Amino acid sequence: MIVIEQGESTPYVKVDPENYSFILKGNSFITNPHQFYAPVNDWGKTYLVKEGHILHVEITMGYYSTSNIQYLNLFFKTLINNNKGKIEVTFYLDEEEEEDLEETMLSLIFNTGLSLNKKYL
Amino acid sequence: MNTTLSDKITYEGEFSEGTINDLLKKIDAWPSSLFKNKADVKYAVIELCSNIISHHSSTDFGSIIIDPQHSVCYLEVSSFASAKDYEIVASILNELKSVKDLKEHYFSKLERAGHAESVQLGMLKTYRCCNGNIELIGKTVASKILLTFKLKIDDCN
Repeated sequence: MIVIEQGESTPYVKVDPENYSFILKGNSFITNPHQFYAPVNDWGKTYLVKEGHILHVEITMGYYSTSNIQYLNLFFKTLINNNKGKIEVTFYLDEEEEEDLEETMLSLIFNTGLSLNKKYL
Repeated sequence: MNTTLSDKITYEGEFSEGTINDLLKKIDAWPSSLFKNKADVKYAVIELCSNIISHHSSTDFGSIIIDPQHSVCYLEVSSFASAKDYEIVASILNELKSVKDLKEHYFSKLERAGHAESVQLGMLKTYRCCNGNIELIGKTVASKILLTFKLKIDDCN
């Protein structure tokens, strides 16, 4: 299990493989995403979802910088490519902010084969 | 609506992620009757201030003025950079002027991961936030360049 508390420029992160849960919550505009997300990236590079299970990724949206989007998109591509059909991503957001956050959501899952699945808070 | 002194946001000093966070909170505090398109202002602030911290600046020192007026928000961000970095940023902005589909261009850059693409993505996001209403000024101060971005961000209807 990996838990990182929310910071001024970083989201709350909880990776709970035993319960097939991955949570990201809040803004992400840290200037060195490689360093911040290193533990999550190390886990994601080798993680394989067991047969018959689905890893639920829940992202409560905030504001992301392009460098953080770029890094996380690459991370999700690897994770989803290694676990085809076993990853489900759901975005949570305020309905009022949908237009402002739409492109960020699409960017995070760009070229992963997943379609945009969003729920309002 | 006229801008009051409290609506205009100014900062000069060392930039950090905490500075960006504080600026975003102040923008969020604007009444929506003053300026609705807070999202584009916030995205531009994130990208330009991140530049000061990480990308082109030789120091983390800089200044920012965010001035919401009726139907437009003026944003001015300054920091020191090398002559080479100034040329890179100027070249990126110049190239963007001839791009027809900026959204498609954004996703094609997103596909390629690397530092160069990261800088280009940041400038592209900034450029789109202000619909290309961006001016880059480079002023030589001692051996460095004082780089200033001046943006006009339109409000939404």
